[in-house]
Amino acid sequence: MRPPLSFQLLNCVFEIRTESATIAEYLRYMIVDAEQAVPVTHRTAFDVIQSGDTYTISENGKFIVERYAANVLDALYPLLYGRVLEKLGQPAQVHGGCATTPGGKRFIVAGPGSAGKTTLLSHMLLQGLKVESDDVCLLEGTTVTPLPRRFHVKEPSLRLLPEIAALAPGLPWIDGGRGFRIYSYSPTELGRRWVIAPGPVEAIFFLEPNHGGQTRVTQASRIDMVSRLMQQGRSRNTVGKWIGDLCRLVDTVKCYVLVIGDKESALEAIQKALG
Amino acid sequence: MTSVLKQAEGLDVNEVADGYVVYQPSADKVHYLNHTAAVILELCDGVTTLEEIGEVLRESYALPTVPKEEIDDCIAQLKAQGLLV
Repeated sequence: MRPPLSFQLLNCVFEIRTESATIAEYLRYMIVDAEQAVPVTHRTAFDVIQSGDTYTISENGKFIVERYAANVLDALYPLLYGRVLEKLGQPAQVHGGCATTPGGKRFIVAGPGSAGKTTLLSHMLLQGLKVESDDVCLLEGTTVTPLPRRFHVKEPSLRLLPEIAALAPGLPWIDGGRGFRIYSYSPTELGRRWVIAPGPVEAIFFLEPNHGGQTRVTQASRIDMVSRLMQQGRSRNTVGKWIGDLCRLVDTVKCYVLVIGDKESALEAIQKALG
Repeated sequence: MTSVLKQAEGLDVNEVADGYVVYQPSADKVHYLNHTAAVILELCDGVTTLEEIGEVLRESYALPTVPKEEIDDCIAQLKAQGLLV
C-alpha cells in the first residue's frame, strides 16, 4: 500500500491517496513543502483511484470527477486551490510573487504571463533573497499572503537559470503545450528554506518585458498600478470588493513599473529603488 | 449655470493618493479618475451648483479664472460614462 501524500496549503491540509505509481509521479508536480505560518483549519482527503483507462477523483469519499491520468493534475489543481480560497473567504488576488531583501524589505513582483516573474524571482532566490512565491498573492486588508505553489519554470527559461537547469532532469514537469516542458521546483530543492507568512509589503514592481533591452524602473501612479493589477485577473468575490482591496493595498506601498531587460540589472534596480 | 448634478446610484468609489477608482456595478465597468475629475465627482452632490463647483476648483488650484472649458469637458465625460446624472 502506497503511503498518502500529505501537504499544507495555508489553512488547509490535503491528503491525497492513490495506489497508482503514474499518478504519484504526476502529483510530485504539485506537492508543496513550504513552512507556513498559517493555522490549519481544514483537512480534506482526496482519493485518486484507477478505473479502467481513467481515474476517479473523490473528495472525502464523494465522487468529484473522472479523468485520464495525464489530466488528473488539471482537475486537482483547481479543486485544491479552490478549497483554500473558499475557506479563506475568496480573498482578492494579485498575480505576482513575493520576495524579501536581506535588509528585510518585502515586495511583490507582478506582471502578465511571460513577463519574466519566475525567472527574476528564481534569480533572487539564488542570490540569497527570501522568495515566498512566483505566482499569486492573497490580500486581507494590507496583509499579503503568498499562495504556496511550487515555482513553475518554462523550459526555454532554464538557459537563464543554470542552477535550476542542473536540477531539471530530476524535477517533475508537465507538457507546456507549445513544444516545451514546464518544470516545477521547490526552493528547498535548491537548499533554501521556503517559508510563507502573512505580512505587509513595502512596494509593488510591475514587470514589463524588454528582454535583451535596457532595464529601467519608474515610479507608477497608484491609479495606474490598480489598473495594471486589475488586468491580471480577478477575485471570485464581488468586483467592488476586489477593487477596494487592491486600492487599499496600492495606497500603502510604493508603486513601480520595472521594464526588465535582464534579471541581473532588474534585481539591482529593485534593490536601488527599495533603498 | 445654476444646474446641479449628482453621482449615479450604486457607485463604489475607492480613493487612492492620486485619484479615484470607481466601480459602476450597473455597467460592470471600472473608471479611473484623476484628481480634478475626482473632486468634480465629489462636489456633484445634488446641491452644489456647477457655478459653485467652478469657484471651488479655481480656489483649490489657485487659478486666476474658473477653468470652465475643462470643467465642462470633464462633466460631459462623467455624464457620458453614467457617473453623473
